[in-house]
Amino acid sequence: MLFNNTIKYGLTAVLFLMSLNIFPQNQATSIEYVADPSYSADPAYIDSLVKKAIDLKLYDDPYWKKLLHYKVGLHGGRSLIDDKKFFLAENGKRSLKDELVATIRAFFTPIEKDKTHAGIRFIARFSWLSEKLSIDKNRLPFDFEGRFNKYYESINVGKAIVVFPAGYMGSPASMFGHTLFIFENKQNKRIISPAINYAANTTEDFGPIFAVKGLFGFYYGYFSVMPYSDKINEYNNSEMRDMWEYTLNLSDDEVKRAFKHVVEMDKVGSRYFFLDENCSYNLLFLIDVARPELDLTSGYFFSAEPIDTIRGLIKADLVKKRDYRPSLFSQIMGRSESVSSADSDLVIKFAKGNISIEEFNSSISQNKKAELYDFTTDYLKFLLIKDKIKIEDYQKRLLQILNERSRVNNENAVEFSVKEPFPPESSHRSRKLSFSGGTYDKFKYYQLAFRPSCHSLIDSDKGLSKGSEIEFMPFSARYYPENKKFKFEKLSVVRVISLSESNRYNVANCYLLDTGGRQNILPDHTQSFGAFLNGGTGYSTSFFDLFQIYGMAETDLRFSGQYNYNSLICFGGRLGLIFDVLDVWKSVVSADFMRGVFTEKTNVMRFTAEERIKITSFFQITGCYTQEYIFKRRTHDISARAEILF
Amino acid sequence: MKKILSLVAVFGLVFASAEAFAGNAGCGLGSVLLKGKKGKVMELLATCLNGTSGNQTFAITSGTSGYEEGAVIGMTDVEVFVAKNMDSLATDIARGNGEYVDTLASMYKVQDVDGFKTKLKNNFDKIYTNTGVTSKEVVANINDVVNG
Repeated sequence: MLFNNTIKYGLTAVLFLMSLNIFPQNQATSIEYVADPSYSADPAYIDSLVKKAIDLKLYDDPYWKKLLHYKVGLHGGRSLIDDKKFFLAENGKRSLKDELVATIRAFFTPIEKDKTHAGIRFIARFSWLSEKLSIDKNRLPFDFEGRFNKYYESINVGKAIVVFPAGYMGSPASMFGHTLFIFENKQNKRIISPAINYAANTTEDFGPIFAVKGLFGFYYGYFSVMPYSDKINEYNNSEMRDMWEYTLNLSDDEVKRAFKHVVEMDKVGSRYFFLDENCSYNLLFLIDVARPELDLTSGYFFSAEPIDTIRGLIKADLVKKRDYRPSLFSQIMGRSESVSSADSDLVIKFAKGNISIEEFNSSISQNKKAELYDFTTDYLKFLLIKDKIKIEDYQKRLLQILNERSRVNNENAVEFSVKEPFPPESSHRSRKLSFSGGTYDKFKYYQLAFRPSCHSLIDSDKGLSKGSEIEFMPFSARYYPENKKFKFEKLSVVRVISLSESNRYNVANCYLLDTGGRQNILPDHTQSFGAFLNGGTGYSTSFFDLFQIYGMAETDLRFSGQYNYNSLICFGGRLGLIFDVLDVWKSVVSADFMRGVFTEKTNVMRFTAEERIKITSFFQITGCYTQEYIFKRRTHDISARAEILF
Repeated sequence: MKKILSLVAVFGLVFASAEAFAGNAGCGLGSVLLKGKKGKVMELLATCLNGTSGNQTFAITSGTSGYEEGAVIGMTDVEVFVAKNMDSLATDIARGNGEYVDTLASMYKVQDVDGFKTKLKNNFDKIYTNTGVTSKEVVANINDVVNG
């Protein structure tokens, strides 16, 4: 995309959106304040409300805490929100009571020009307090609730839906997921319904810095809204991610409360923490506020992964219905199943401009027309997004195809729908703890390994992208009982493997990246812990949905004081095979052939085979064998692991 | 200085793209599909962090008097809808069914939805008249077909 904007660029965003007619001024149904200009509050009445609120200990009420996003953590009780705008009391972030008093008083302040009145700004707080304290609306500067209701009715909100875009090929990091909150239009106009999104706001374009800053709260997250179709275009089309829509069984009143809270969260920033205070976690507050007895925002330790928040919704019995919205790529692959090889050749040739529309038409049979035109339409979009065809060619061919399609009536057309894959909540849990025993170079060892998140090739890919691996901070440590030695084996900062399959429709790149510290083998055949960087790129394909093979050009850099110039620099290649039988038995095999150059000249060969048997969704047994040849010596490492996914 | 420069650059881009992308003419086929794309590096690392390119942030409500402005209201605007969904809508119109053309029907508040869809399908070439057709022209052509 062309640009990003922090909040300081908010103005530019608004200007831009106005130019797109997002805010059609003539359409805005301006509802003026119906306020008495001579309004003055009755101090005695306000004091009586404050007293009543304190007597009732409303500041200690769980619902008040929810409205303020108040949590008790390591630093004591405080609101997770970091924006002064959200608080009416000076120390509102920490004091529930001060904020309560300030809120009640703010409702009775006169209207000021160019300032949003608290009765508009904090409508969820007002509704709750009004109910608890029986606030007399005739004593307010204007009717807050009535004012909100007029607006709310104009939006015509029906059901609430939480959307989960699944991971996409070529980006293992996307497996982590994301969630959106949709206020569905009552007439079931789902795609133009408002989609609420919580995201970090940044102009940072450099990935690694973005990642680090995102992890440690350097960015501010904000709620924003856009038509759901924008998000469908972004995820389903541009990124080719399947989307899952979970309709919640919230009542009309509950949905309305969630919407009121969205209004309160407008333009309010909170420090964004990728692992816990992230996109998905923040949306949970909307649901917690919607239904008072819920407490979805508690019970997350260390991380709140988007899919875990979906599991939380299911567990709380909040999900009424699940809909699958296949990505553009899933549609293409789905359609391709019923298309003959000869026909798909024609589709590819036409889409890439090798045959004309006339040639295409004369080669396909009448009863296949609708199906093949639809397939071609999707494929043209795919090629455009992948930069395989120019936009001028796309426009020309798309119109040719659609013109033909519009002349085919639908009587013969078979209604097409993509077969639903396993839903994302059926995937394994992302934390993995494994215990293993084995021998390395004839020495016995015990190993403990832990991965905070998220998925590796050997794990079951049910509900996840196939051929993708991403692990954050996996580490392993060994104990050698014979010589009573404890060793850190390996710690990766991040480990990514993406094995997108190439097929006749799409040639995709594969890559791997792994960096951190590990035991490096030294020229004298001892080991020392040092930094490493392993990267590669290549291609992959699969056979019969059973075997996947890949090949990569690879480089492996190791660092240690014992190496010449402190480094071992290897170049070479890797061949790999993945074999998956009914999700129960999986085999991941690879062989590397490399040559150390410049500093240490040595041949390096490594063969690794991992075999995994899935016992339950959270328990698996894995056998692993590695043979390594380096500095003219061969070592064998064989082990068995018991792995728990939680 | 660097900040000012980048601010100027962002302004420049905004206006350039607003001009080229939307302008007064609306946008053409294909442009929306390319709009949602991210840079390579962002694709590798950032997707998990952000889940969004961070460029769509706009407010839920605006103005000091509260709720009257905002995207929520713009969502019922046919021109915006067509501009944002050019390719999906064209596909649905040619097919004579689908979520996008159904939504359009509801925006036009038509009673006979099937008749509406058939009419648009039969007049596809009158709506999407040429490869450079813009969303504004599409809306005008749809109005002509519907009222004609």
